[in-house]
Amino acid sequence: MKKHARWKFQLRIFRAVFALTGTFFASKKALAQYAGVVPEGVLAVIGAHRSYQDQTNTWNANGIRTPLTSKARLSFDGQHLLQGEGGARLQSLAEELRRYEPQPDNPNSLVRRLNLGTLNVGGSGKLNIQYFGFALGLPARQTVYVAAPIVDLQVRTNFTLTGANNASAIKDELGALAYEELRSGLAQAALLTERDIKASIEAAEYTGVDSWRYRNFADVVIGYATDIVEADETTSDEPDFSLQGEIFSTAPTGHVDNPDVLSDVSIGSGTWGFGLGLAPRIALGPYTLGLEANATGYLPSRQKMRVPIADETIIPANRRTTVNVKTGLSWEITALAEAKFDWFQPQYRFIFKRHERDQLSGQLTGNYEQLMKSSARTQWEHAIWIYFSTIDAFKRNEFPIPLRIKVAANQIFKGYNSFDESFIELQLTSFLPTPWMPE
Amino acid sequence: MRILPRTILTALFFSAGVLGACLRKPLVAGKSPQTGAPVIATTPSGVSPDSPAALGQYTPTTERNALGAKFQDTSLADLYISLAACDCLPKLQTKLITSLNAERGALPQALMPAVRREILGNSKLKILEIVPRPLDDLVGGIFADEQTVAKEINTGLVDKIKLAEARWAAAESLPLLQLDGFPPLPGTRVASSGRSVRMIDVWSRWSLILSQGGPWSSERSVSNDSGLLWHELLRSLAEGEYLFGLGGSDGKSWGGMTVPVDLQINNPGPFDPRTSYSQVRFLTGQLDLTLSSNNSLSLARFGGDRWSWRESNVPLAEQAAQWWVAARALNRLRPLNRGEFTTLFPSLIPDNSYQLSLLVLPSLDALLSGRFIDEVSRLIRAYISGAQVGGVAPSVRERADAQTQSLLLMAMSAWIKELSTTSDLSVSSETAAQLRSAPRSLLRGAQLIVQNLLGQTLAPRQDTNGQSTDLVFSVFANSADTSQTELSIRDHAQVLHALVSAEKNLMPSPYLRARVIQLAAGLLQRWQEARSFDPSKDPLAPVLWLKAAAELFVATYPEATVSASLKGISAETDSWLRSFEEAALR
Repeated sequence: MKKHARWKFQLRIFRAVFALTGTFFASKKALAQYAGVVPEGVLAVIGAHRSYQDQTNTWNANGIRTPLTSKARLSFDGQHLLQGEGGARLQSLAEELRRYEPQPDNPNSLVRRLNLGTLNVGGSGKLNIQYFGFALGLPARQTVYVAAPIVDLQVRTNFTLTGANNASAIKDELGALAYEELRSGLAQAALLTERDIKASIEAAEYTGVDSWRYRNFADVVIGYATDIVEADETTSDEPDFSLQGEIFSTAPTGHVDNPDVLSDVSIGSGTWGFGLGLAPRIALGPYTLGLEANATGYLPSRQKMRVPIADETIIPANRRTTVNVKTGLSWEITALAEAKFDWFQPQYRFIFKRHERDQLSGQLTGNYEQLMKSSARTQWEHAIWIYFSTIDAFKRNEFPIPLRIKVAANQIFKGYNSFDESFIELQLTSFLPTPWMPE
Repeated sequence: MRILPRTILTALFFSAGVLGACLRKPLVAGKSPQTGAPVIATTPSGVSPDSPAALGQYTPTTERNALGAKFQDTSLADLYISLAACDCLPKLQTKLITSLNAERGALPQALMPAVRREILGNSKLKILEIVPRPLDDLVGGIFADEQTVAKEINTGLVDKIKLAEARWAAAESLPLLQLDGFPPLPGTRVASSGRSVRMIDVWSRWSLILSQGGPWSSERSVSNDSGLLWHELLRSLAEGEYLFGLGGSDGKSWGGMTVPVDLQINNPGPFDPRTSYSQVRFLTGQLDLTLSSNNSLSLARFGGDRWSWRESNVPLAEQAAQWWVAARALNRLRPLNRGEFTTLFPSLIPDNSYQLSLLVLPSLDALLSGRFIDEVSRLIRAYISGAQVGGVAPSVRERADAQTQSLLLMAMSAWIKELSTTSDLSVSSETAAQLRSAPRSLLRGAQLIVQNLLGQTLAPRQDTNGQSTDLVFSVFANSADTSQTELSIRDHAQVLHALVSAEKNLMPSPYLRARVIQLAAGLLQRWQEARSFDPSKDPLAPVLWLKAAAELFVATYPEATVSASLKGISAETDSWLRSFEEAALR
């Protein structure tokens, strides 16, 4: 065994945080909103840039927003080492100490007094998304569209070990009673550094320990939208109800978590998804209230993973296997209020997102529960969108081209197992005539 | 993790007939002045070797003599080991040892290698080589009768012993000395069943002979018994030679009572590390002897001694006793410790007789590594079985109790101490190197035992009087379940003794020291709860261990608070023991 082999540390929180990013992309299906239902014969060309704030916080399972550094803080005391939190080698060291004690749970026992300090697993992520899409208006208020998100995600990790380390004192206390290996182990534990921890991770055949970057497609979306109940834009004195519907599919073009890369995350779902969306609205004059709801289901898939035996985070390479994945249903509901002026259209959105628990299974015996544990996620968000549109001016021949610019600010205010999904977005949509556009 | 280096003595040079030489000279000198005929021993008195009872059960603890009846201890073997560990009551020990001469051993002295060599080496008996075997009785009787044989051996032994005890040898009235092997335990009679040897009895008898009550005792005075101490030592060395089958000639082994470590074949035989061997052999259990002839001359010429081992599990306690006694033998016999007997040894005892002790090291290694000790689970087994295949049968996976582990720790400690210096040992450079490296491996074994004792048998104890608020420890059958079985005060004392000795001599450790002090406080608490000793009802061993543990603790940690109180234990037990000794000697 190499010197630091099989020392592991707990990055699962960190990994889970960024794993959500991918889920978010995969579930973002309301792409028809990019352009709405486009008039017949018109091609809407959409380009956007979304910039997330630096990812330094996360929402835990209890709905508390926690800095990534503190959330990934691991106490390397005897009790945690016994549970394997410090890796197999430190675990066996703690177990060895426990053998001297008739009552290892006693606070004064050797193993309970052992403390190697606290490992702070720091991390940050920079996330930007550009997406490009096309929507083509068909007769009878129907539209087909395709959208391709391009993700630029940089993940950086850092480790700091702080606090007192009393391994040397324990070694002295045991004196010649301890086996040579135990004394040696305690001596090494007394000198434990961040570098040791990194080396132990790399010894487990992981790459991307310090950083990982992905700049490529997320899951591409193709869809169909239509006005089920068309808005009557001729009257402004009575409530005007409309209903838009869509069906869509997501293609597995995004990156899926590589079991050999430590800090990567899933950008895509790894399988085909199929969804439905409904967007009822009621307008009174320039004001509109509305809902947008969509749900996406996924085909079963098989993905490479490392399956833990217990709850270890750094899983040996020989635990790599193909896992049967049943991705949970993703769904979201948005309530919105909108005002529409001539060229200015502000909108407030209140959003609920939910991803149901994934189901994993495989032939290799292991703790699949550990892999599924954080897969159920919930997010509560709100957002302000402001559209600047030249469409009406274009119709009045007061502006040469129909354009629409969206400026959006989105903020999460409650999450469970969620990443910190707050961003600003700038979107530009242009509408081009096609030969099939009616006169 | 290997506890001990395997086959540590593979290359050990063990001088041929080294122990036989201890008697060769006086026996040569002891030829009958009239006839020059060799002296030939007879069988033990009152026991017919051909009797069916010769193969019966040998149960010495149920056949005590008057001396043995003074002890209430269930096992005299255990008592004698306790007595030797305590190294106290030297007068009582002397009485026990010298009482051995009143009983005859299971092995006729004609088969003891030292005697046998003399018989066969006698030129006047060469004529017997042309005599047909059925005529042995007739022709042998022409040369010597049994009384003459006994007298010649006695004379030879006295001549030898007088080198060390001239005053004793010069006394007018001396007991008759014989060199038959494996007498019963002191305090017991020869069982009517006759020729059977139980190894634990051998070790406990040797432990007495090699203790401070033995010939080395500084406290003993020259008395009527002094020569008998040396006699028992010479007999023990000759027994050792026979046990391992080292005393043969012309390439043939004489004796040999070892069995292979895998216990698959019941074929007791010799084990000599000088020669190449496919399997380590060791001594265990109980063996029964059958003889092909009644005739001593025939026995000397043709052997005819056949041993059968009673198949049984091998208890660790028995082996630990053997290893501990062997280490003590090395301590007593090695040149480094001969003291005032330095010049005496070569003429009285062969200079390299200490090498006999080293013969147990291969079995210590082979039995502990994987058999008695499961390194993975850290299990120290109470027994191993001959039924094991590739491991140990489920039925014999029991954990060794605290008493057995303590004895094993004592054995380990003793060997580490003895092997810490090898400069005085006359062995090959390769063997010397192996011996020098052995303490490191032995220490690992000792560390494992201490770890097991601390983690599995020690636990905090409640003060039944509710007076003490300090945390004190006691010894339990299972420390995880302290509500069930607190072990006896004797076990408590023995564990304390073993741990103090280990901390003092092998593994200085503040942690162990703190635990030992808590354990001593627990012993004190128990002693205060029930302090009594009635020699007419109570066994002696607990008192011996109490005294031994208290004295060792006080000597080792005089500054400990509990030491002052433990001195009280020491004084009180000493008083009890002296009273008992006086009564027993009357």
